[in-house]
Amino acid sequence: MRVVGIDTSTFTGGIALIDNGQIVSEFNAYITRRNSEGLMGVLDRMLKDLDWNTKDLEGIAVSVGPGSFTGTRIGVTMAKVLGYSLNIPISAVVTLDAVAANVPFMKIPVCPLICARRNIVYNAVYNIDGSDIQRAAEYSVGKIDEVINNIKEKGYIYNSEDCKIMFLGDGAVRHKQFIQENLMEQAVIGPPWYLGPKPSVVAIMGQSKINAGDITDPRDLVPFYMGKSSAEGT
Amino acid sequence: MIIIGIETSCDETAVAVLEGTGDLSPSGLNLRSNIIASQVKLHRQFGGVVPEVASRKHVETIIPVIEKALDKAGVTLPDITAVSATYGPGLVGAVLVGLSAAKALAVALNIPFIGVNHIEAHMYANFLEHPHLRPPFVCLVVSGGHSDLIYLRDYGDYEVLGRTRDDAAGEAFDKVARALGLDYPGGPAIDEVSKGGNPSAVRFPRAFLEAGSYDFSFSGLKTSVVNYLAKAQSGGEEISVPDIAASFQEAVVDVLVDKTLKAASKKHTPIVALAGGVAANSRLRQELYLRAQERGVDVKYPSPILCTDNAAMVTCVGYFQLLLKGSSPLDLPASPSLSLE
Ligand SMILES: [Zn+2]
Repeated sequence: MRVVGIDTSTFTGGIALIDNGQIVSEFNAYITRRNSEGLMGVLDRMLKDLDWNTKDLEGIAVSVGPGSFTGTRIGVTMAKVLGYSLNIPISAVVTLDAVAANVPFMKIPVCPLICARRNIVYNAVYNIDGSDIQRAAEYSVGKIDEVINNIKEKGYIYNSEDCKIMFLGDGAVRHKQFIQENLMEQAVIGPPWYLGPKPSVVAIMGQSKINAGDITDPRDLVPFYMGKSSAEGT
Repeated sequence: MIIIGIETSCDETAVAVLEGTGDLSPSGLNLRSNIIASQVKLHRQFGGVVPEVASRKHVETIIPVIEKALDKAGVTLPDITAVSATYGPGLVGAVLVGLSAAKALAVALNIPFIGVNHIEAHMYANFLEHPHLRPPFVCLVVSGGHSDLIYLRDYGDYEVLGRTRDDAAGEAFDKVARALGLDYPGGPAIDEVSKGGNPSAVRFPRAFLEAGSYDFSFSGLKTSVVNYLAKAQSGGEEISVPDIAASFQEAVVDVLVDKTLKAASKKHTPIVALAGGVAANSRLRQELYLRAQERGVDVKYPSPILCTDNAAMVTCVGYFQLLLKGSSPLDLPASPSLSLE
């Protein structure tokens, strides 16, 4: 199955092609929105390099946030129009899930933090057992100090033998000092190559969802906006 | 040649389908569909366009509007030759939805993508209804977002003669309508209520600016209306909404018509055209027509459905631009303050 994965939901922007679960092409740029706007040109180039036709594509996976409203809409719109015009299934992948999926076989829980505004982060906590990554807490949005307090109170840290938790996402970079001051050596900040959502991971997760019948009609596909009413704006 | 166009630069999600012969002339154009999903009701509760609300709605509406436009045109996706979309000026988050949709369509169908300037598109609405209209002519583009006086030398070749230095004409209409307690959007509301008012009741200031300037300024006029109302209120004076609306409208129209006709004589063109949402204003059409006739100048304007934001005009520019310059790059970024030159 040939699936295209698209992610424009955070500070990165990328696109990948997988063929039967193998990554065959991937582009990811860790810069501004500009590169997200060029992703259809990148896809065009990737298809030509692989000697594939758009008609060879069998599914679309897209990260739907939470993250940047404007950024996410670029990828979501591209995905829904591709899915609609090629008449192939689309699966929606939650960005926090995609970030957690960067680190299977991790022996400690992970907490992706995605920046919303100022000191507000989208977050969730995952327990990992081999390749099985289970979300242990609701997706939520809150101030970084509240999120860290909540992690302490709920005792997620003690889900691992060495009592640590790993932080991922752009929020882990921005709030690194605060996290380390509060959790001391119990906090591990993920290495740079694990921090953001990866379009190849989104594609692979999307393929499993498509196989499981978990697909979204292109007309109904919208970003996963969390916590803020539409009238308040970005 | 069949072109699909997408327009999402403000609060209308619009898609249209245009058929053309492939000649560099408007005479063979056939507009097959022109679908507009208006968000006016959604934004009315806020008294103006809320960018985040508009962007969200565009994402929800884009596919159904594309489907409707194709259906109405009697074509299917494989029939489409090229796709065009507005890339600016406009609200960046809103523009990005239509622009991203157009790029995805271009890649999926393996057809050219054409990025279109929204102001240029407003002017081209005239070609859709006046197949014998040819450049050069002077065009006044007036709407909630822009007030530009443009010399259209040839297809794709423009000289901006003047633009607003503060509020756009439509913006002034919205603000004065709010001050008068009229409905949003203000343009049609003032147009309607003015029909029962005396346009000479109050002499509001006309900002002609320095001699020879084709620029506009409407914020002073807006302020003087607001001040007039405040003074009347504090003095317990009875005010007539139709009289004030008509007097305000008269001041706007006076300046717009004066500068448009001066521009036409400067450029020695016997044709002037109107475009943009405010071009639907009945008093502006009437006054321009009357004063142009005295000078032997011909006036063209599109019907109201092509004055408001729509995608038919985007297909029209897409058609000419594809023939003249070819396609645009697929990484063309949204350009919120795009200008014509
Ligand atoms: Zn407009």
